[in-house]
This record gives sequence, structure tokens and C-alpha cells, in this order.
Amino acid sequence: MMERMKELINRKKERKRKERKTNSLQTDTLQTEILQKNTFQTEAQGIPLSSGAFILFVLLFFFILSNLLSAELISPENLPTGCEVATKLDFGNQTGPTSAEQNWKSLSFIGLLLSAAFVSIIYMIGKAIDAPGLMARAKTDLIQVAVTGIALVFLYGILSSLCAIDAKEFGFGFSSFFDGANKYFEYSRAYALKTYLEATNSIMEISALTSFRINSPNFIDLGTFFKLGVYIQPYAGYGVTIGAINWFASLVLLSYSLITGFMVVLNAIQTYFLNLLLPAGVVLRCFSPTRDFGGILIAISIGLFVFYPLLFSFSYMMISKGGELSPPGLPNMDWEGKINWAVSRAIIVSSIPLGSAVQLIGQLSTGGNLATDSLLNAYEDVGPAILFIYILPAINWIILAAIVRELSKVLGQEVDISGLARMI
Amino acid sequence: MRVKKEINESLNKRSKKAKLFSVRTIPFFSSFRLIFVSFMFFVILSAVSFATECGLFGNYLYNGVCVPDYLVNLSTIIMLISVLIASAFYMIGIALEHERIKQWSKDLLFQILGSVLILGVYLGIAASLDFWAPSLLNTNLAYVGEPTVRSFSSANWVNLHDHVTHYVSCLISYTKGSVKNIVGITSAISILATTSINIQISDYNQFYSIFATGSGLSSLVSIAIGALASTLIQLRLQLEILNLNSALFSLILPLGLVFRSFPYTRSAGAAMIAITIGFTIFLPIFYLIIEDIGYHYYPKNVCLESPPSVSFFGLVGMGITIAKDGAFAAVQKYFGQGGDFEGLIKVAVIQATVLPLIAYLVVLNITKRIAEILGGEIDFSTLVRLI
Repeated sequence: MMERMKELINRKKERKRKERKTNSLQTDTLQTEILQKNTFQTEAQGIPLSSGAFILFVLLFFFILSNLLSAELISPENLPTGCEVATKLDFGNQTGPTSAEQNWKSLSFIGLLLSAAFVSIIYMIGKAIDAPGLMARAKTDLIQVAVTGIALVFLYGILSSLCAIDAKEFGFGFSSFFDGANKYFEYSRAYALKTYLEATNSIMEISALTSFRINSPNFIDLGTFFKLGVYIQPYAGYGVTIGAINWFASLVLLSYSLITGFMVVLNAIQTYFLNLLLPAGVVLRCFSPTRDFGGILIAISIGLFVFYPLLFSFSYMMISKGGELSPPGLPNMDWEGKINWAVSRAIIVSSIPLGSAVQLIGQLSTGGNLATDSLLNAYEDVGPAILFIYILPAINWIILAAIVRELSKVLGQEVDISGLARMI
Repeated sequence: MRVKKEINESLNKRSKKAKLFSVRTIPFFSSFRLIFVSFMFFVILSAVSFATECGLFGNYLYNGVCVPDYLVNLSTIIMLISVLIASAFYMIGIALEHERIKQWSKDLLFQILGSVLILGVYLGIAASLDFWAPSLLNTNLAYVGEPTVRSFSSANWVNLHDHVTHYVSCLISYTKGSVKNIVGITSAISILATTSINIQISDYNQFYSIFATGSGLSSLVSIAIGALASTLIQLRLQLEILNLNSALFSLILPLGLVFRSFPYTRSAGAAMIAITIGFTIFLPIFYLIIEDIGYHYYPKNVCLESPPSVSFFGLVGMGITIAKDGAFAAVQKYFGQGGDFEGLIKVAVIQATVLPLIAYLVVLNITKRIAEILGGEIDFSTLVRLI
């Protein structure tokens, strides 16, 4: 009896064990189904995946660092234009930023291949350890790799067509939009320099004039007993204008530095944004945990690479009225010669016996008029300088911020670069 | 019997499907036809309006002037291409029965139609300026019923934009003349202030300064010159912005229309179109209001008025006033009501500085609202801070 009882209990236990096994199998399959369904929505905490992305990120970081270090060897004169970076794949020149190992196309392609390989490994691991969640996530990432690849092909097509347009054919004064932006900056910088030199010229002229003194100790000489001397500073009144022109000269000098800064930004965007930021963004976008960040990098790199020069080339079209602007001529800095000419004439007139006082005053006022004219010219030129260096770039940054925001919204997370406009 | 039933059921299903298809497609096709007809109407209308005035291609009508242009035509072509793209995507959406693609292509089509409408409305307003803007010659926009300064110089009227740039140029000349005269006066005072006489009687020497306290004026004049200099600079800036008018019209508007045709650059396109409308239509009209308000407070034509100046005898008179009644009385006499410098203060402060600043703020606000209506959000806080 006891033995039979034991047998019965054992059978029951076995049955229960079997039931538990089948239940667990069912829940496993249910879970896999749920996970497979939610793969497009869930972003993951999968440890192997994020560690894979981390390794890739570290590799890419070292790669970018080495590129930046080698970039120091490139002199600014040899910097490629944006269109060269976008369309050229120079296998011959191994040290240039457009060379194969540093070109955005090859880097992105390699990045995509590596990402696909990583994702495949993760899929294999998922299969080996029978983790359906990992497999599902790997599948999603693989789809993202394919989508990113297609987007890159589209991007190359857009960049090629933009660079193929020769604006000179339409009567504009530049060929590509990078060329247009460069011309805008060069013209604005030359204009700022001209204005600064005009202001400096005016300050020097006025300073020289205010230091001019007439000292006649024996103006009326009635022998040794009585003498009447006169001491006059005829241009002392012009000194009051120096304060204002000094302030505007420093503003123009600041704007000269600012426009140089814009040019450096353009060079950096042309050379490095597409070549370094975009591949990094492409790789990071292939993995779930870093997808948003990758999207932001892509949005910033494409937004700034395409639209920063494009908007400034529009500004160039606006100020040149569609034609080509010749750089503004620098002012004549021979202020000393002008003053000497005016003063010498005054001395000659005063030395003429019985020379009319009215003539003397007239000659003295010539020097004053020269100073006033140069002062007014300097004041007047500050206005357009402000337009070229502050107003139009500010409008461009506002539009640029709107474009980057839209792009980043599509590619990942919304990013606001409007704060950059506040730099101006 | 069973087979018959099955056949009937399948036939019913098919007819239902066919009905569904016809019910779904007919309204779409009719609305599509309507959209297509309205689009073609706008295209033909704009083509005809160009053709009657300026020839068919390569020109457009701007405030009564025919200006050669590529980009207006380019934007039209790009919009037509965008329509084709939208149609192709719609076909793909129908073929794949993909609702999102269909919705996307419909949105794109409506946005392009919106752009066409904007172009049509804008061209209509710009072209009609020729007809209604001259009526502004005798219409005071600020004080209804009062005369306008424009009506006295109607011979100079070419168009609204030219009148406004002419007005700002007059303000510049007036301010420049004022700076020149003030520097001249200051220099004359300074000559007196720095002149000293040395009287030597035998071994006795004595220095006398003629007008020692005159140098105290320099800080005051320095502030006035600084203020006038900044007025001159911002007037020149205003003139440059007004001179961008034609470039905004012929470049930024069509480029804005192109940008607005694509989904990811729509907000940028909206901003560009809004900036063009704000700065080419609203800004010149605001300058007319500034002119009217300015004329109300200083009823003289700035273009004909000579800048304030003090002659040699005037300076002597100023000295006598200061000696007799004190400096405050002199300030009241020359800078107060009816004084020589009253006009300068009113022109420099009201017409050249305060009212244009308000006008720019209002125009930026209008531009922001227009951009929002056109489907883009722009943050003008940076520009407002610059102003």
C-alpha cells in the first residue's frame, strides 16, 4: 500500500512538474510574442546592445580624435570647399580631408557595415541564449541600419544636385553656395575693415587738429614796455566728436572679429561637419539607446553643412542685387598730408603782410571741414556694416535654427540651436 | 444550391467592394479636380498678369516696374514639380493602400496650393500698390483730415518704396547737416574758450582767458554729438534695410516659396515669405505713418528744411543771453518751443529714432504672426534685442 501511495505521489509530482514546464513554455512564447509586437515601440535596456554601442562609440571617438590630430597638418589654404567634401572621393590624396579614409561617404559606409555586423552578432547571441527580446531589438536595429543607408543615398543625391548648380549660369556672382557664403563673408569683412580704417583716420585727423596751437607772444608789440600775446587752439572744438567715433570704431572692430569668426565656422563646417559628425551620427542612430542622439548629430551636421552656407549665399545675392560685388576700396590714410596741406596754406596766408583775417579763418576752416567730412563718412558707413555683420546673420541664424529644429524632430529629438544666434 | 449560394455571396462581396471603391474614389476625384482646376487657374492668372505687362517669361511686375527675374519662374517650376511628386506619392499610396503615404501626399499638395495662393495674393498686392498707393498722397494715416507733407511734393512721387527711401534720405541729410553745424558752433565756442591773452607791461605778466567757462560746454556737446551720430548710423541702417526691398522681393520670396514646398524646410520657407511681406508691404506703410506723425509735431518738410545753425552774430547773441539771463534762459531760447534747435530735437528724436524703432518692433511682430499662419514658428527675440 505504502509503495503504491508513494508511486501515486510521485506520479502527481511528475504531472505537476510537467504542467509547470508547459506553463512556463507558454508564458515564454507569450512573452516573445509581446516583445516581438512591441519591438518598434520599446527602446531598450539590453545590456549587450548598449555595451556594443558603447564600444563602437569609443572606437569612433578615437577615430575622430586621430582625424582631428591629423587635421592639424592641413593648412587653411589647402582646405577643400564644401562641394569637394560632399562629392569628391579622393583615393590618391591620403592626407587630405577628402581622402578616402576621412571622407564622409566611406566613413558612413564603414560605420553602417560595422553596425550591421554588430547587430548581427547581437542577433546571433540572442538566438544562442534563446532571448527573443534581444533578437527582436536586433531586428529593429537592422531595419534602422537599412533606413539610414537609404537616407544617406538620398543625401548624396541632394548634395550632388546642389553642387551641380552653377549660380553663375543664372547671372549671380558665385558658382556654388559655399562660394557665395565665402564671398559674403569676405565682402563684409572688407567693409568692416574699411569702416574701421575710416573711423581711425577720422580719430587721427581730429586728434592732430586739436593739438594744433597758435601762439603769438608778441601779437601786439609796443616796444619793451607793453606787449600783448595771444594763445589760440583753433580746432579744440573738434575734440568733442572723438568720444562717439571711438565707441563706434570699437563696435566695428568687434564686428570685424565676429565676421572672421563666421568664416572660421564656415571652414569648420565645410571640412569637418560632414566628414566627422555625420558618420558618428549614422553609427549612433543604428542602435536603440543612442538613436535620438545620433539623429540630433545628423540633423546638426546636415542642417549646418547645407543651410549655413546656403543662407549666407542668399544674403550675398541680396546685398549684391544678384550681381557680383567688388571689394570696397580702403580709405586714403594720408591724414597727415591733408592736415599739413591745410595748415601750410594757413601759414602762407598769415605770413602775407596785411593778410586778411577772413582768409586766414577760411584756410583754417578747410582743415576743420576735412575732419568733419571724414567723421561723417565714418559715421555713415557704420550703418551698412551693422546690417552685414549683425542684422542679416541674425536673420540667417533664426531661419537656420528653425530648419535644424524641424530636421532633428524628424530624425530623433527636438534640438534648439537658436541660442547660437544670441552669440551675435 | 450550395454552390449557387457561394457564387452569389462572392458576387455580392465583389459588388460591395466595387461600391466601396466607387464611393471612396468619386468624391476624391471631384475634390482633386477642383484643386487642380483652382491651381491651374492661379498659374494661368499669374502667367496672364505677367504677360500683359512684361512679357511671358523672365519678367515680373513689381510696383509697376518690370524687373527681369529667374527665381519667380524657378519657384513656379519647382512648385509644379512638387505637385507631380505629390501626385506620384498619392498614386503609390493608392496602389499600396497605405494611408500614411496618401495623407502625406495630400498634405504636400495642400501646402503647395497654399504657396501658390500666397504668391498670387502677394503679387496682387504688390501690383495694386500702383493703383492705391497714390491715394496715400493726400491721406493722413495718423491724423485723419489733416494735410500731409507728401501732398506738397507730389511731383517726386514715383512709387511707395521710392517715396519712403527719399524721406529717409532727407532725414539723413538733415542729421548730417546738423552734426556739421553743431561741430562748427562748438569749434567756434572752443576757439573763444581756449583763447588766452598775455598782457605784458614791463616785467609784469598776466594771462587772461577770454571765455574760461566755455570749455564746460564740451561734455554737453559731446553727448549731443554722440546721440546725433547714433541717429545718423541707425538712419543709414534703415535706408540700407529699405534698399533690400527689391532683393527681398526677387530673391527671398521665390526661395521662400521653394523652401515651403518641402516638409522639412517649411518653417524656414514660411519665415522667408513672412519677412518679405513684412518688410516690403508693411514697413513702407509704417514710414508714411511716421512721416504723418512727425509732420503733426513739426509741420515742416524735412527735405526742404535746412539744418539748424547759429551764425557768428547768433553766437554773440547767445553769449549776451547767457550773460544777461543765465544759461537756462539760453537753453530755453534755443532748444525750447520755437527755438532754432527745436526742429532738430523733434526730427532726430521722433521721426528718426523713436517711431522707426516702434515701427520695426511692430513689423517684426506682424512678420512672426504671418510666419505662424504660413506654418512656421520663428523666434525673433534675437533681432528684437539687436534693435
